[in-house]
Amino acid sequence: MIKTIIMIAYFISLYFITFWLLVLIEKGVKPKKVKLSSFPTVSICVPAYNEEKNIAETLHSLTSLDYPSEKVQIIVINDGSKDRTLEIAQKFIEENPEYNIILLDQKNKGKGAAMNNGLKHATGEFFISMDADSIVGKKTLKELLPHFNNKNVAAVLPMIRVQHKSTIMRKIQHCEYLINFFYKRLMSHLNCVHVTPGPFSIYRRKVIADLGGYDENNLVEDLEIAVRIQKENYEIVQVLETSVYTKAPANFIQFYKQRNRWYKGSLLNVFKYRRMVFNKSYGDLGVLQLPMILISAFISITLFFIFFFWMFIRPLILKIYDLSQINFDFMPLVTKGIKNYSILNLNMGPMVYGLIILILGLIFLVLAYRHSGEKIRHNKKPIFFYITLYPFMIAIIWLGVIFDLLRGKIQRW
Amino acid sequence: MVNGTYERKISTKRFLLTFVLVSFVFLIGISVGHFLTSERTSYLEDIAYKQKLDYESLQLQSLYLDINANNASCLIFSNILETSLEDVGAAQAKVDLYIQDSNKESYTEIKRDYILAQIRYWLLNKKMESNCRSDKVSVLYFYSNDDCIECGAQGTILTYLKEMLKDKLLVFSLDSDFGDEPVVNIIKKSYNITQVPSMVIEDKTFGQLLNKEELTKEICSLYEDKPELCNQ
Repeated sequence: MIKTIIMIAYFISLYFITFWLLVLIEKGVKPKKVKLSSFPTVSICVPAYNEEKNIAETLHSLTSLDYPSEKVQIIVINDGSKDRTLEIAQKFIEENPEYNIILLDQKNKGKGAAMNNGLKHATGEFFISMDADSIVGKKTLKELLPHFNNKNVAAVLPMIRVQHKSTIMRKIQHCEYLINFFYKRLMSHLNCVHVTPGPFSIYRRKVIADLGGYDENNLVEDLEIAVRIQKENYEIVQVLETSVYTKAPANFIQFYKQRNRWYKGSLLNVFKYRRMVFNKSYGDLGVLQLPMILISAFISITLFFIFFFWMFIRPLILKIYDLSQINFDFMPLVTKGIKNYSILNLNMGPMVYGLIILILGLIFLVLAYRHSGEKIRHNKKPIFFYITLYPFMIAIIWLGVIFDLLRGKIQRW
Repeated sequence: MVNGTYERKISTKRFLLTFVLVSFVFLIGISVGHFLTSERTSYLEDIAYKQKLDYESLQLQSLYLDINANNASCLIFSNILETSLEDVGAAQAKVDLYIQDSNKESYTEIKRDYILAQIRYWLLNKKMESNCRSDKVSVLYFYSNDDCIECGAQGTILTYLKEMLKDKLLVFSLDSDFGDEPVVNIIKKSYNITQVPSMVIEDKTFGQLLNKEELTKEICSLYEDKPELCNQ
C-alpha cells in the first residue's frame, strides 16, 4: 500500500517536471523584445497595515522609478494601522509635493478591501499593486509595460527576490523564489500562472475593474484575482528581467504562518473555482495546473513524510531499539555486518526514479540560477539547505494546512 | 464588458510525449529491479548449492561418527557445522531483506531451501550430541518478518551473544510464518510454539522476548565449563 502511494508520487513528480522541461526546451525563457512606444498612465496602490518600518522605503523606491512622474499616481491606503504608518506616509507626501500621492485612511478591513478602495480612486490605464514591505528597481516599470502590447494581456508580473538575506531561512527563500519564478515564467508560456503576487504586479485597470475588483473575504486575494483573470481567458505574463525586492519571513515560525495562509488560501480557491479543475475548456490550466495545487499537497506529504518516515526514521528507531537491547555494544555486530554486506542489498529499482527526479530538479535549479544572473558558487550553502530542508518545511506546512482545514479553522489575513 | 480572447488548448502532444518519456524512465527502473532480482536469486542459489554439498559432507561425517567417534573427528564435524550454519544464517538474513524489498514469489523456494538447511543442521547437531561429548548450547529461534518489533530485538541479542560465545553457541533460526514447509509446523507443534519471538534452548521452550541478561543466564546455566561471558 505504502509502496504504491510512493510509486504514484514518484510518477506524478517525474511527469510534472518532465512536462515543464519540455516546455522549456520548446519555448525557451527569454520573452520577445518589445519596446515601450509611449508612457501610459499608471496607478500604484500601496495597502499598508502596521508598516511604519517599511513604508517610507517603499514610497521612496516608487518615486525613484525611471518613469515620467506626471504619469504616475500613487495611492497609499492605511488599513487602520495601530502604529505610525499613517503619520510617516503623510510626512513623506509633504516632503515630496512634486509627486501625485493620495493617502486614504480606512478602518481595518483587510488587504482586499484596501485594494478595492485604491482601485476606486485609481485613474491610470494600468493598476499596480505594491506591498508596503517591498521595494522596486528603477527600470522595472519600463521593462514590464511593453508586454501589454498584446491587448489580451491582463497582468504582467515581475520577478521577485528576497531583500536582506540575513538569516538562513531568508537565504533558503531567496533560492526558492529564483526557482519558483523561473517555473512561473515557463507556466506563462501556456498561460497557466494562477497568482499575481502583491509586490508590483501590473494589471490592466479596466479588466480588474470590470471583474469587480478584489475579493475582500479571501485569504489570498492576489491568487483569487489571478484565477478570475484566467477564468475570463485573459493572459498573465511572467517576466524575469526585472528586480522587485520583498521582505521574507526571517524564521520558520513566521514562514509557517505566511505559507499556511498561502497554501490554505490556494486550496480554498481551487475549491471555489472547482468547475475549472479538470475542465477541458480551460486547457492546460484546467487539466494540469489547477489540479496540481491539490496534487502538490499530496506529493509533498507523501514523498517527504511517508517516504522519509518509512525509509529512514522507522528503520532508525527500530535499529536503536534493537541496539538498546545489547546496551549499544554494537562493535561485534558491525564487523559481522561488514563481512556479510553485499552491494546487492541496495534496492536499486526505486533509486533510479529518485535519482532521475533529483537530476532533473538540479537541472531546473541550475537554469533558474543562470537566468537570474546569480552564481551558484556564491550560494552553495543556501542551495544545500534548500535541497535538504525545504521539502520538509513545505511538507510540515501542508500537514498543518490539512490539519487546520479538518478542524475547520480558517484564519483571516 | 469582460471578455478575454485567449484560446485555451490542451497541449495533447506534450502530454503524450511526457507520458512516453516518464514511462521510459519507469521502464528503466523496472528493468533495473528485474535485473537486481535475477542477480540476487543467482547469488542465493549459489549459496544454496554449496549448502547442499556441505550438508552431504556433514551427513557422511555423522555416519562415520556412528561407528568411530573420537575427539579429532568430532572437532572437524563441529567446525564444519559451525561455518555452514553461519553461511546459511547470513544468506537467510539476505533473503528476508530482499523479500521485504520486492515482495516477490521468486525468493520463496530459496528461502525454503535455507529453512530446510537450518532444520537439517539442527537435527545433525542433536544427533552429534549423542556421539560426541561437546560443551555447546543450541538455540532454535522462531521469528517473523511481519509486525514483530521484538523479533528484531531478539535477533540482535542472539547475534550479539553468538559473536561473544563464538562456537560455544549455535543458533538455528526458523521463520515461524513459513507455512510452505510442513516440517516447520511439525517442530512448532512439538515444542508448543504459538508466538514470536520464541526460543527453544536445548529442549526448553521460551515463548517471549528474553533480554540480554535473562538469555545469558539461561544459556550459561547449561555450560559445564563456563565461558568468560558467564563469569561477568
